[in-house]
Amino acid sequence: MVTRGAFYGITVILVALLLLSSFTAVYYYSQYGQAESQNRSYVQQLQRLGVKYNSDILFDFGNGTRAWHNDTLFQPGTNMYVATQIMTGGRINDTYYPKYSEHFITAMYNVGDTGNDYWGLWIFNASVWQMSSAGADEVQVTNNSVFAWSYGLNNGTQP
Amino acid sequence: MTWLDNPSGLAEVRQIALVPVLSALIVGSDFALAPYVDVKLLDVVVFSAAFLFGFRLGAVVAIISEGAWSFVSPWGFAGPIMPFLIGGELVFAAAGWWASKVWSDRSKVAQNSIFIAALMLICAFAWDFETNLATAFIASWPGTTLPIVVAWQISGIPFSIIHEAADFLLGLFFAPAAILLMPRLMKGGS
Repeated sequence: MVTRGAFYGITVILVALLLLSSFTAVYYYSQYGQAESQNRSYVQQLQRLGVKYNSDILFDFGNGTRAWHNDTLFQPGTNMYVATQIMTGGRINDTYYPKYSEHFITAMYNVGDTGNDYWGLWIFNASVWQMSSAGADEVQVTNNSVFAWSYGLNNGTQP
Repeated sequence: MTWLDNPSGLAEVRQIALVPVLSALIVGSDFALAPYVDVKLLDVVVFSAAFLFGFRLGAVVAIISEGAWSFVSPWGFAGPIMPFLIGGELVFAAAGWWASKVWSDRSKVAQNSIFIAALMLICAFAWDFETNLATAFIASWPGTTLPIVVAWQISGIPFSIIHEAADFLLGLFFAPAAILLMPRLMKGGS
């Protein structure tokens, strides 16, 4: 049996935790918004100056065929979805999900749409390939970045 | 019948004498802690006083000490925000009084210290919210808008977090000690 004092005490602790977590979330969200707006203005300045980012992109078709596109130049602010559209000349099949502001790429160069194998985005970071934790629309091309699109079972095949 | 031959009257006199003593302790410690803007004994002392001696005594300590600090602080006169600072401090007095009703067994105050600490954190949040709101209105009146109020609230969050963390820790350690020791000291250390 919970006593009245313990009941009020637990309620007070839960309210305090609710306030703390809400406070932290609001602060994080405001900081994120601020950083995003600063980043946008920085990108606009770079675009005005005509700066281009250099990136290497690999297409691994999963059947032994690998195509590197090295030293490709992109405008600052370009995301990997747009970069891939440019690289493939628009030879992409995808479905857009407005709810997530994301394109789900189902096929590239007419490879895909099989139902079992998928295209997965990888980022070469700290000398290792890491699977992207976000969709292509959310991944910004930065200077000297290295990416790979890898086709394989459940998009888990490392390039 | 006077306080000389009426024990309950004597207890009241002791309590009244406690007001300047606690107010002096608060203002003195405010000066000592001046470099740490958001860490003050004021909140916890007001809370403990209200816990032990009721809302009225806690409120009087809050009004006198916050009022005095609003005039003598190293940052100068608080100006139109002063009533809101004092008003926010009354939340601690009300919380101290309420806590004394809910956790009335003083022998278990150490066990209940986590509850007191959480309650202090909520009060600090209320104080920060109320004073940030008042600051937004004072700074932007008559052109106050919701975005201005939100901006003031958000810009105050880093300071609020320190204030709330400090009050939580003081509620956890200082308040139980004060609640246990203050009555003993009033009885002459017995």
